Amino acid sequence: MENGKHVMVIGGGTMGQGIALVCVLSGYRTTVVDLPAAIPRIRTGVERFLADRVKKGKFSAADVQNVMGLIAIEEDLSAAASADWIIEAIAENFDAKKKLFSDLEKAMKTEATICTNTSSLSVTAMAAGMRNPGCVLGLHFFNPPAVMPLVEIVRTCWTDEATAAKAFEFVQSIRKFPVLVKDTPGFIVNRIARSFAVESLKIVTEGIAAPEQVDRIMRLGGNFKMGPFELMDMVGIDVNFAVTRSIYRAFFEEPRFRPQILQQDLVNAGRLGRKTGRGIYSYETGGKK
Amino acid sequence: MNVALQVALVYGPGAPEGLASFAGKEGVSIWDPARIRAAGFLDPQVGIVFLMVDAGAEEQKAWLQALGRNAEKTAVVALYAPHLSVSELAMAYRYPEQVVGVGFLDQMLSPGSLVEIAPGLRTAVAAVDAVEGFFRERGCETERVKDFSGLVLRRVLFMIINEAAYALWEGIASREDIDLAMKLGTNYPMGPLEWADSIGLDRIYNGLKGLHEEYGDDRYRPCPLIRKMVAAGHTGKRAGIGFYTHHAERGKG
Repeated sequence: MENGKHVMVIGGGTMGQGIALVCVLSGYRTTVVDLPAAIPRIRTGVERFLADRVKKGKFSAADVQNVMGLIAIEEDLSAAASADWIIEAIAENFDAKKKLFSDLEKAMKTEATICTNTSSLSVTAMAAGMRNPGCVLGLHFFNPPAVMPLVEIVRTCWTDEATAAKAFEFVQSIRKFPVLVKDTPGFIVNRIARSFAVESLKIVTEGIAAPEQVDRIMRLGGNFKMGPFELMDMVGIDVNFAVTRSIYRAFFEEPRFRPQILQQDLVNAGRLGRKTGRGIYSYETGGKK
Repeated sequence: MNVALQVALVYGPGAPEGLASFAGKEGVSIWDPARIRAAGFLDPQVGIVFLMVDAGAEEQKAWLQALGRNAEKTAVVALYAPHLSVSELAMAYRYPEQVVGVGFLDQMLSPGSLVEIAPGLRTAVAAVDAVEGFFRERGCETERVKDFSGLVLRRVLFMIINEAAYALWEGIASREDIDLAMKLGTNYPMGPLEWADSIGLDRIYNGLKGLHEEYGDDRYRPCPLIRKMVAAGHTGKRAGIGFYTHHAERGKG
């Protein structure tokens, strides 16, 4: 099962864990790196993921052993010395990422690639000032990485064809679908999907239709799998609002991306969606509307 | 609600024709648009006329005006895809109280699909009931929404398509990658650019122009790429070329 290549994932939150598992399942020896305090939580997370697969009959005991043999959880960056792919999935803090990249640059192999899973920061700004900025690109996974099939490969002005092609093959090798996009705010998906949420919020604000009507219209009239408001409640009103604001600012207040006051009101009210039991809709403890 | 109501369909140039197969043949006639321009309302027996004119708002007004010249006071006009508010467009018709806006995507119209019904400020209740009844009898769901340019579905969808066009125009990704990303990254039933080709870029351009005019907000300005393609006749599937080339469709419709 092992393919001889080594992946290092930095940050063991939901995204980092998911990305690491996706890599392991495709035969990559994978090291997850996080602070000492986070390590027991990551171990539990991986074990729970595997137990769930076994329960669903998708994994045998041998598969579990195989995965456990390929994955390591560590506290320092020493794995950088042998990693072919370094994937950063720490919190969205520009300075922290920049510092991390400069530490990695000293420790990594020259032919390795640093990939950031950022969804809202400039990959270009992260790469700028490095000895070889061409070794940095974006690899934007979607949540949850184990399920979502898409990965956006984000190229900066330094990314050459060979690096992009190598990243394309890497994404295919972990059984995901790659798309190539220039480093621009929101890349493809978060940028174009703004309209689905924000135009719907504007329609509701203007009293043209109620949220449940808009959801029904988009599902039954347009064949969307979920209406915009159901989706916003699932993702989190705060998350959606933060992405909208960040893209709006990044495009220098282009009116197409202008956020809606209704989003801000919901966030101010603590109505953040399913996770707080109430967002656009109210949810009972079972999670049902 | 009069089940036996005679229905007439009028297709302006470039309008979608899915309603014809959906409506059935019983009590349904198709009116020649050229004759309406000359002779107005063609048959006093007809209770609902579906005005399927998906050109610009001025065109929609012109058709309403032609139809209204000799219409019966009781006839209802269902105006497809209003590009401005129904309230405003209806004033071009002789009896504004008889005009109701309807919204759906032509290629998705089928029993079980949903149709938006939008009365204008002057629209009479009986007129709204008659149009809603037509769709309900054929198994559609309906939602009544306030009348405004594009209603709900077309407005949201056209904004998504407009943004996809901007992304392509700015060269951030290929058309195929834009479509694939939206289908896989956020579960859209179609990629926005292939969807645009199937709807027709001319219709999307008219819809966005209507929103832009209605709001006076640059949020709604159509992407210059869409304008350029419409001007060149690259309007999508019907034309054989839009964002993609459609060899099999060339010459059809």
